[in-house]
Amino acid sequence: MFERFIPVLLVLGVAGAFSGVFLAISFLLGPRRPDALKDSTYECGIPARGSIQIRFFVRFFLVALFFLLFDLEAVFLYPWVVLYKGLLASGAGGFALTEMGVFLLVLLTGFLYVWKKGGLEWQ
Amino acid sequence: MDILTALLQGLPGFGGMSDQGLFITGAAVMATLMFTVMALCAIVFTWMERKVAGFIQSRYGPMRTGRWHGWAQAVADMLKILGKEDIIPAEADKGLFVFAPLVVLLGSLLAWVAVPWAPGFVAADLDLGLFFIFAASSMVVIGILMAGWASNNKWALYGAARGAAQMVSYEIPLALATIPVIMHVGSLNTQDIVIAQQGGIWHWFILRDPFLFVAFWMYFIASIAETNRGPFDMPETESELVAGYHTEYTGMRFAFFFLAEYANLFLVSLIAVFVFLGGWWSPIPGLDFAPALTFVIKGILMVFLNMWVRWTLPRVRVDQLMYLCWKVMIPVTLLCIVGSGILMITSGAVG
Amino acid sequence: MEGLLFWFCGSLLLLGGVMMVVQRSAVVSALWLVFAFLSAAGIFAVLGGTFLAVMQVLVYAGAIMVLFLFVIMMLQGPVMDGERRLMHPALWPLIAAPPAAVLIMLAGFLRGDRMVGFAGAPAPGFGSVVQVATLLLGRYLLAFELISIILLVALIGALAVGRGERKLPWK
Repeated sequence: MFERFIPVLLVLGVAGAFSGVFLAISFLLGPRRPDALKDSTYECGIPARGSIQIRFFVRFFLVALFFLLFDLEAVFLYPWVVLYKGLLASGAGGFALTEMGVFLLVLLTGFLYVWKKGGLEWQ
Repeated sequence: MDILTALLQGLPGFGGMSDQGLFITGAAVMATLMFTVMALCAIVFTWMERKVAGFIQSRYGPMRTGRWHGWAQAVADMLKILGKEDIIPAEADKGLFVFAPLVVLLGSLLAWVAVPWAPGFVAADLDLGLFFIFAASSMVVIGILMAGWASNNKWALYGAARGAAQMVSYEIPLALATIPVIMHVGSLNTQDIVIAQQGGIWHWFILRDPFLFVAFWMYFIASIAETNRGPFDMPETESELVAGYHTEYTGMRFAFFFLAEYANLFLVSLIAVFVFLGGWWSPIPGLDFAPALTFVIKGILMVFLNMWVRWTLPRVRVDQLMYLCWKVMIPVTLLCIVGSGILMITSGAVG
Repeated sequence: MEGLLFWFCGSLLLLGGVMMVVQRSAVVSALWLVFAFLSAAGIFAVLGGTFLAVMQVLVYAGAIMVLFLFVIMMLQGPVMDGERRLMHPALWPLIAAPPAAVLIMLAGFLRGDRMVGFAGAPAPGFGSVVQVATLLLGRYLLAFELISIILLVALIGALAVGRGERKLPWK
């Protein structure tokens, strides 16, 4: 099976090599005249103030957390989805749908709870 | 892949090669081909984008370079960018700054591996093709966060955080919207998905049942957000964040972000084509003489639709963006999955 | 071929792990962890667990690490001063001792005839999505359904963590 993944490695290699070549060309052709002003951080032309440790909106963290959970849900959906047609053909379609229905229903409860409690609000 | 190895076998000098050697040579040729196509599509689409934007806004867009409608403008831009200075800000984290564009570019190119261009013509014929595509393109998010952090610029970091939040949020409806199709196919292999749509436009999944029709539009909206374009270009709102996560990038490294954006745009359009719009099959059965061409033309039409949306609709706010994703698209795509599943049982039609 | 790829991915995984530990910047450290996860996915793919490999990339490298990066970027700057004090050279042997012990035990266990080798190609379809799905929805159905409960608990937990002290749902 893993042979099928060899093209993936090759694409990585080829694309990496090409990107390197392009970078090298631009390195050879491009000028290099660094100066303090050019190398400073560009924040709308005003000298940058303070550090990058800005206060982040906690919502970003929450979005990443919800994403993780729903991503997992999608990952568990995939195996079921691949089998669904086969189960349907063998007459076990209702069973298959119930299996997934229970799984989704539990998650839907959580989703509705979070929704109701305002966890999906961006403010 | 199969076609390529067969072709190689016919060439003098390759006849005596072992199967493994042929396979690897074929894969290397395919990889080079893909990189070329990607570079080419970035050039073509930048020109196309400027023309489309121009006509939508009642102006011409590029007209001079290369005489006919400024067709050479994008080529000239690419050549110019090669000769630009590569500035690495003094405050930046050098290692991350250098590698971030490569991660973004490789992430989007890697996903191309499983795209079925024509029967037997796919770089890696993976059993979990579609799943692999989503996994590979999730690496782009890491690259964007890398770029934003390494720049050591508040706007860049904020743009990266917004971009990452948006891309991960819309990854869910994007993946969920393709699930009803996989239920009909019973396989994640990209070629199988196309083969299941043989036989004219009414066999394409977009027209199979009403839930799939809705799922297609959900996919389309999510794909616009996933490429950070159109009304959803929050990560680079030029009026708020300078240019978002690539504010500090210049020259070739900036070009890599640019390349990746168009590679991603073409990728999501191609996914839409092979998942919902019949892949390499022509709308009228029996006219399938140039499958790869049909596939690419459909892809370009999808890209055009994408550009049309981008230049027509005003930008949404961050809260509207999140509202749309979590409170509209995720429930609707889940409904599509359940609806399509029930419809498959009641109609008794398997396939 | 398998052997070559296995050792290649394995050494990349080790490199990723070591680089992750020795970094001063938490963000760079997290990115080396992504690298290590990708190498681990490579090992899964070589061993025939293709579904697991892709899942590793999608969930660990693509989702969990994004969360990690958000948290790190939110909480601290590029260099953690407290950590630096902890990494005093005198403490290095102490830190290195437990992993070294595990390594020695593993090496002892794998010595001789128990040395890991490739027992030939796995059965056709091994590790594929269909096989995983058949097991998940057949033999391990209860575990599969219980996963949804775990996800539900995690959802509510995430809400409680994210809303802060003032706006806890039950207050």
